[in-house]
Amino acid sequence: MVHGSHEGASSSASSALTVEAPTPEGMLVQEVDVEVIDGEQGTASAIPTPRGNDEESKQHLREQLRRTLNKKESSHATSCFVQPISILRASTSSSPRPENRFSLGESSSFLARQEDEASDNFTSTIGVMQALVSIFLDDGDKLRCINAGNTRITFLLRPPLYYACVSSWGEAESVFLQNSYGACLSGVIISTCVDCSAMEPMLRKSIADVLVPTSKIKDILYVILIAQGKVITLVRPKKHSIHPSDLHILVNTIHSPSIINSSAAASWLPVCLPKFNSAAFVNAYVMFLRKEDQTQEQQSQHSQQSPTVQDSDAETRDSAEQLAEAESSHTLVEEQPAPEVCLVCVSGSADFEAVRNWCNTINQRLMQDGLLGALTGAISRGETEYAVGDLGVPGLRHFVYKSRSHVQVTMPLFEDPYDNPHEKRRLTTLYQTLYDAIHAKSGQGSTLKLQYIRTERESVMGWITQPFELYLALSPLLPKSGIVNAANAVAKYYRMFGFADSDLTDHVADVLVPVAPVPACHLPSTRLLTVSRSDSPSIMSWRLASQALSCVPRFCRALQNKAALRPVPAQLGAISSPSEFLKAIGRSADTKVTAETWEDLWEIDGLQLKKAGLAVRDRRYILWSMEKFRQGEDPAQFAHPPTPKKKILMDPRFKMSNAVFEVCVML
Amino acid sequence: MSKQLQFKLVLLGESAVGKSSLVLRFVKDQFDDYRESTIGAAFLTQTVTLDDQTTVKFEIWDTAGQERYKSLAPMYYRNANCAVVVYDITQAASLEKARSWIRELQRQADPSIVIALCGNKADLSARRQVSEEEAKKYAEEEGLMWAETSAKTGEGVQEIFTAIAKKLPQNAPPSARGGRPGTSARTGVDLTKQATGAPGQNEPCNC
Repeated sequence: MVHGSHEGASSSASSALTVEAPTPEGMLVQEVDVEVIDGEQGTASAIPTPRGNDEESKQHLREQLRRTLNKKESSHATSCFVQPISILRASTSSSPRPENRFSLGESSSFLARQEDEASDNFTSTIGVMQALVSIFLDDGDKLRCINAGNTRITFLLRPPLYYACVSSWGEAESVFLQNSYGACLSGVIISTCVDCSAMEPMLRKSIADVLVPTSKIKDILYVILIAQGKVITLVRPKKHSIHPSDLHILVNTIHSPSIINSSAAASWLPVCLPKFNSAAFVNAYVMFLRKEDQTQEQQSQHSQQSPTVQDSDAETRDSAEQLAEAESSHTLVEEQPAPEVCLVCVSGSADFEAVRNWCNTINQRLMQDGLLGALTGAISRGETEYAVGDLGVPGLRHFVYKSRSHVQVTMPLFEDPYDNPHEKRRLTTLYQTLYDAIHAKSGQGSTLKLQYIRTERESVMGWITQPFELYLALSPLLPKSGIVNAANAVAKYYRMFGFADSDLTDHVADVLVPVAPVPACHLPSTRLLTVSRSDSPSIMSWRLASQALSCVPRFCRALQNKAALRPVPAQLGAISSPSEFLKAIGRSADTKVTAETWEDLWEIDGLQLKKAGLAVRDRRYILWSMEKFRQGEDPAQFAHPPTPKKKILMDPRFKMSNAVFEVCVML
Repeated sequence: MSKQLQFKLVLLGESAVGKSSLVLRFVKDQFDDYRESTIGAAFLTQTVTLDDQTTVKFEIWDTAGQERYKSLAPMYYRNANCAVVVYDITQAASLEKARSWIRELQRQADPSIVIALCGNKADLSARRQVSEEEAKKYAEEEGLMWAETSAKTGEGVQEIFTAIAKKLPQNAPPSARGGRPGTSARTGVDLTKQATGAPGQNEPCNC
């Protein structure tokens, strides 16, 4: 049974096809090449194609394919469509990971693929995908995805590249598309931000200090230290930060076999970082910092016939390691341990020598100060990872915390019950579903503030606020209050300890992320891990969440606890009475609002203010100030006079074109 | 007291002739049956000690041979003291490509550059398409050093680099160190200039 739908003119110009397979077993094709040819012949023979007229034959093919897809009855011609899918399935099932990503060059050249397995049927797979894409493209239409049983094949066409992604995980469509861009460990949440190692903050800071370029070095854009595919620290110009997708390009490039298997001391790569400047190249100097070893001592005496490496910046690994690498380079790429620490210096200039000297200096300083040793030690002892138990939040099994302002993400190790690949994948897919719903990536009506899903085995929740996004996996038995507590505890933890910037000279070191959590017993006070009433910084979001239309209402209603929504904050210093608070926030609020006691003040809500006859602007400001105060901020810091009315001196024509532009974007 | 000299060496040649393998054999005395093609350029160093105890340190640019990296080549050979142009003895076309590299070097590079023509994959002489005579004659006409090598067996690799080390000017370390500075402007990118406007407005280059 094959049926397809071509979306109407009202929606975007793209095609989503659904192909229902009778049985999964029936889909697998053993002799792929033969069957493909059969399929193509089947199509060709079904249509009387006039030879020599390319355009006409294409037209025929398209019509035929559309007819085929719209047919309810299985027919001879349908085989041509089912088979391509089965090929993709076959290649999927033969790979260790359930997801395959392909990139096709528009000029029929295949460019890259996630998996490294070499297979002959691969060419035919690519050929079929190319054909499918081009058939629709000729019509000015885009192939978006094909659903075949549990497998979904998603296409993303961004000329000159086509991405095709095959998966049976059941992710949302948008997740696919994003995943296709970069290799990511745990799906889209990570692919949209920087994945960072947990680390002792002082060590990270010391390393970052070494990386900050001196004023002598011109045109250095980023200096990044990477280990285990994760960013240790990143130094960037103060004026702008690296876009996560640019960083992904860098990290992926560095981990491509040509670089990582290379025996070179360093590589100099011209790369385009499209989010930085899509019209130019920058140069990335990539250098693996290898542990200092003894070979340097033996370097001086050599005969003509046995030269050895002599440079401090050259590959100074001991011979055992070299042998190991030589051997492993013949085996699977996955099995080869990545070189431990990689220094990347992205520079706008082509002055290789200056960059190289600078990187050598960094290397020497890292070694001399013992920082490199401390870093590799921390990595090998597993200190760059942490367990969810370290946070001491009851019922919490796993989480992903993303700091939106830092565009960085952290998560603990996947532990029981998520330590096996299947469960890990299931959880990841749940996270992706949350992500998709929260961001309304797959054409949902509106974004959500919060989404809660309970499965038999766990409850998961995604929560987005201004500073962060949080995805939690919890015990399904945990009551709603427990979920709230857990979410707040994680949020609080990272708001207080996790992410911090430090400003240094012209370049800023993102003293990135996750401080490995200190075990609960080592914390100065366990108060951090429980939600005291003043510890609910983003309670506002909860309320908004409960108002979000498409959120699962059953759960959210229970979260709308008035007392929890508006806790009474502790009195702060000089501010101990309602009038003092109202004076402190300014705008003569004290003349507009009266409250008998401190508690009464914090009971005030918008409705009461409205009844008291306050203007919208004043109401908003007072409520906002109260919320700020609840979050522990000082009125002296956040109070501000009303902003004067904006004077719009805009050329009306400009406004018009702006509107037109927006319409274009909408389309 | 022994002299210490330092020279920049660049490897050029068509894709898949064995530039990276040649340099891997020279630097590490290793060989990989399977190698990924080079991206951009790889940088390696190796030191040879001559008979008179002079040590010559090569800073080696192993460039990517693929055509799309062609425009970056001047950056590597501009300051080079010596160049090794590699061809594959089993591919006649690769010698043609080597000739064009040599012409380019003679036109664009430092006039004092020492050029060595190197026929790699000598272990595959059964499938030879370029005869020794032909290559040797061409090298003599152009005044190049010439040798056949095999990165796989190691044959001739050490010898060609040592020969280059001997031929390089032994008394001119200053010029050998710096080359011509200040050549960065052409390929530079203005870091102060970032693509402006809303994210949706800029088409990513997809590269």
